Amino acid sequence: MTGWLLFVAAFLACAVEAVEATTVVVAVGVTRGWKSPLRGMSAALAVLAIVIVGLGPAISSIPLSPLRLIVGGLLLVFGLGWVRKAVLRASGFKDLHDEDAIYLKQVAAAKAAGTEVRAGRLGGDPYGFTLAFKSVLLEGLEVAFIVVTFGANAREIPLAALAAVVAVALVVVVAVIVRGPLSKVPENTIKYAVGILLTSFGTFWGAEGAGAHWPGSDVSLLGIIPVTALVTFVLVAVLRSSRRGLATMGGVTA
Amino acid sequence: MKTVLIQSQAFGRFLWKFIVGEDITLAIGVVLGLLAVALLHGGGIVSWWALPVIWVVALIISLRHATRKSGA
Repeated sequence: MTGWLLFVAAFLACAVEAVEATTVVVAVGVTRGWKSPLRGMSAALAVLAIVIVGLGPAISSIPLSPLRLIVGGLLLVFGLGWVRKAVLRASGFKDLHDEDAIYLKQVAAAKAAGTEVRAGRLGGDPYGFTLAFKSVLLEGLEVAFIVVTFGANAREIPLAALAAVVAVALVVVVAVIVRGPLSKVPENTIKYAVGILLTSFGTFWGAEGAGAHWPGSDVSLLGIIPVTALVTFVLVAVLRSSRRGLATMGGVTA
Repeated sequence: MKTVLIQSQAFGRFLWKFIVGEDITLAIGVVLGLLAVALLHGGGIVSWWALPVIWVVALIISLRHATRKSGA
């Protein structure tokens, strides 16, 4: 039962992170040429593959109960961070993630970096390589974390890794076709959904690791996910109403 | 040796920010929630509800901190 939920959660999380990384790679590629950013992206993907291949089996070898306690707890902290941001964005207390704005900022920075640094010792563009490498590595680390924690807890690392590969491949194909920021992807909504899924899985595994037995075992996830979503919707509604109150008093600065 | 120490500190800071994020309240809530589950379970009491209840409280506190900053 958790297999398809795991796939959906890992797929969405990886897709949204891949969109963010792709925006930077495309911005640099369009402005300064594709060779170096693509090399940077490939190098980062290789590092991430090593992290997943190295950490996955090592973490999977930990007995299930302590694994669920530690990794479930970490996943819950991580997921709650996503939920917190999503609730603040949905209620207007934090700016929405705007891929168009990020793309334009990256293009301007890539142009401003100048032509004199384009020719590195190996004949490439160190700026393009470094920016693409850093961007893919940082966004990808979140993907690696999710794949390893989800996969290890469910004892399904190959399935989580498959979800990641499918998501990244899909985003890359679309980016190649569009050759611009993937601003039509409903990123803020996907991030909200991913936050709810990470939090729900973290709650389930963390509590099980601490000794609890959920009513209905795995099936309880079908209750945890909607209840988590409902809690966040209520919080968004409360914060929106409080923001309206602050706005009428002229107090909101965000 | 000094370089290793500096790099370890930098990695530790990165890891902390990566996992814990902007507000430590959520991490404290999760740790307290897991402890509550373990204690209740140890005492023979049904414990699955404790973790979600405590993280909801932690999330509310964390959101209050964030919105107070925005509305100040």
